[in-house]
Amino acid sequence: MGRYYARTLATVLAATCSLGAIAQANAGTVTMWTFLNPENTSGREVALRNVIEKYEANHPGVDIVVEPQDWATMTEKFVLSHSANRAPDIIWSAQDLGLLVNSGAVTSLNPYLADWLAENDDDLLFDNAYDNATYDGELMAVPLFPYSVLVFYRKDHFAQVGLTEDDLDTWDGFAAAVKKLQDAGLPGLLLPLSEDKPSSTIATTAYMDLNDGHLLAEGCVADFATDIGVQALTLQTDMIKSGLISQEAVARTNDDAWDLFIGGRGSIVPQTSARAGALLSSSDWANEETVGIVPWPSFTTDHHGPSVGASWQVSLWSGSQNKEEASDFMAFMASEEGAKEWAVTGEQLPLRASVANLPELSGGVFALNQAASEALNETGRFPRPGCAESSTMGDWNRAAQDVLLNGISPVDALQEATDSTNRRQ
Amino acid sequence: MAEAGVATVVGTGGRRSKLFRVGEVKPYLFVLPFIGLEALFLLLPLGMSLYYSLFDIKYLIVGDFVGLQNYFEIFSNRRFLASVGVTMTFSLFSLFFTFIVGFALALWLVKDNGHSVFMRAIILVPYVISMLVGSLLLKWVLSQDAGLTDLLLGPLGIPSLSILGDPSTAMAAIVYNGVWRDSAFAMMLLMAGLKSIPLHIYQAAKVDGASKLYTFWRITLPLMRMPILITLVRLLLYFVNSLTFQLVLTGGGPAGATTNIVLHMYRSAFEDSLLGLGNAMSFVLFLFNLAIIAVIIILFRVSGRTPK
Repeated sequence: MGRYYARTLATVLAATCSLGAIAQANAGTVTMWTFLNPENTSGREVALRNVIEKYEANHPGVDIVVEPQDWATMTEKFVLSHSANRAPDIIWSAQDLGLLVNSGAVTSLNPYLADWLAENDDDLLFDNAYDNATYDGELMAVPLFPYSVLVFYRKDHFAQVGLTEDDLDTWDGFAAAVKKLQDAGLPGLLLPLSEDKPSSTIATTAYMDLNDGHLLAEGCVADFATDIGVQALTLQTDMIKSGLISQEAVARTNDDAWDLFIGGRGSIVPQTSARAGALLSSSDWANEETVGIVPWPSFTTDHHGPSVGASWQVSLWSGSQNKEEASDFMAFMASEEGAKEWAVTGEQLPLRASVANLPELSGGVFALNQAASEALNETGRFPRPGCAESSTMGDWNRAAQDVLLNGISPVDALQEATDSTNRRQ
Repeated sequence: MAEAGVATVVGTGGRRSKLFRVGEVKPYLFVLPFIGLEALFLLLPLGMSLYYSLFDIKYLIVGDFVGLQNYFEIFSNRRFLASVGVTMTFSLFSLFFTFIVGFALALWLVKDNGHSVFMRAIILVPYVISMLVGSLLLKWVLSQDAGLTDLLLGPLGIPSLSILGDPSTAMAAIVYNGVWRDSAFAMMLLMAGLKSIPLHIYQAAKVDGASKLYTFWRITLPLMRMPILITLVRLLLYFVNSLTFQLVLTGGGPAGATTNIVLHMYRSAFEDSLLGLGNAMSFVLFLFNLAIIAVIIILFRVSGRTPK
């Protein structure tokens, strides 16, 4: 029996020493979960590879290890890994920062990046993205790929019927433009009104416009069943009833609408600005001469409608043993050098003013990025920190469907949308 | 204490009876690992599901104990109750048409000649295609904007219609999807049953001058009772618990017309991140499945045959 205990004790000691050795070996290793794989060849993935190589060349003692993940489940998986105390040092997220913060899985970057932020504040663009990543004064993420849902339109179709992008400034002009395109036998407006994979629509944009730029009030409270909610919803349902939007739209996801647009079946489609590069590379008709990006319309001509903004951003694991190294690499990714890689090689919106004016960023996708960047800076409205808004668009779509197909009144339909949204907060 | 080598239990009369001797226990020991696996992968998750359904869980964070509140919430939710109706409509229509088509195919192709073997292979194609891929293909075929329906229906004088944008036709579309894909499966199960009927019974009926219809009603159908019931059970459980058809083809729409219980549960748990509510729905779905099995058992009893 004594020999048994001696063996057990020896095993435990050996395991403890091994763990210590592993921890020592990992001291200079920064692990990162992202949806990008630096081994692949897309623009963003090549940019990530370049950023890592440059950082490691400047910091010989640090290894950046990327563990590519599926973007749809990455955040939930990270929270579970955090619970098991085995998470990577850096995590990428888009609209799930609230989950990361509320679960305690990520930590404030103020102790590590406050000085960096103060030094770079003038050069960094997209203040609203940084505001969105700040919880109670604590910066919880560094934005890398800001984007927003804007209006893509066919310049060539517009030219055929004598329309310009100025015709899309107001909702009345927007409806008249769609009518004119339809009358000329050209494809019209593609709107994703399915509950599944929803995106910004006419109704949600009009509501935000009438509600000080936000879907939800302070404290993440929804209250859609109001006069302005009904006005916004009716604006959209009237366009369907009058035939400006096909009834098929209620079965269309955001991806469906986009695929149809790429296939030449639409002249106007709302879509995330991040897909501009994919449009140019996946269709033979699309270039900066045939496609344009504009902000959403509004009810008046004195301003554009708001666009829902978001950003892929990086956060620091609260249990990381390499917080200094990891946060330093995060800052490097948003440095001038990093921002240049993302913008030029990765074809993303430039993160810094100093990069935005580079001569390399002209023509092709960069022209579209330029338009998107201006629209995002002017009209981008990021969700309030910690609010779960991503499914709210689906609630609005369901409300539109209930009004059109189930004969439910707009107020009652919006009350259900309100209840569904509030239940998630 | 039990005698060595003999397992004993207390009988209903209170006296100790010897039920199992060593030789009789051994087969149960072989089965034990599989019962353990079943417990691990079925009973344990089921117990956890019931446990977590009693909590308010948002975004993977277990909150307060709320008792049966999640259950009260789902049964007072108009959309959940509607999803029960959708589940029943979809399951029964799909079951009916899949069974009819599957049985017809099985009768047609039961003989092992070259034509039957070739046709069986053709008919099995939808079944071997991934459900996701098949549903996605059908979605584009039925699309009003870019599909084939206008091309096919236009010459018949039928005006352009949005099959997926109308509640009644959207339900028909997912039923069609189920029938298209799973008739082959029904065919295989029923064909196995048909092949088990001794050939000499048919030969005797033929000698007696029985017509084909008479032979079918008085020989084939009675002897197919068990395969038919097994096929019906298998298909019904499959349709009740289906997710891919609704998720990919219609997204549950329009206006919830094709949102079944499983899709409602999936959305609550994984899109809305309300895992307590989702677990409550999954437990209700489990009870729904039990009810279906109970109905089938009653059918077995009514038909005078119990499953062996």
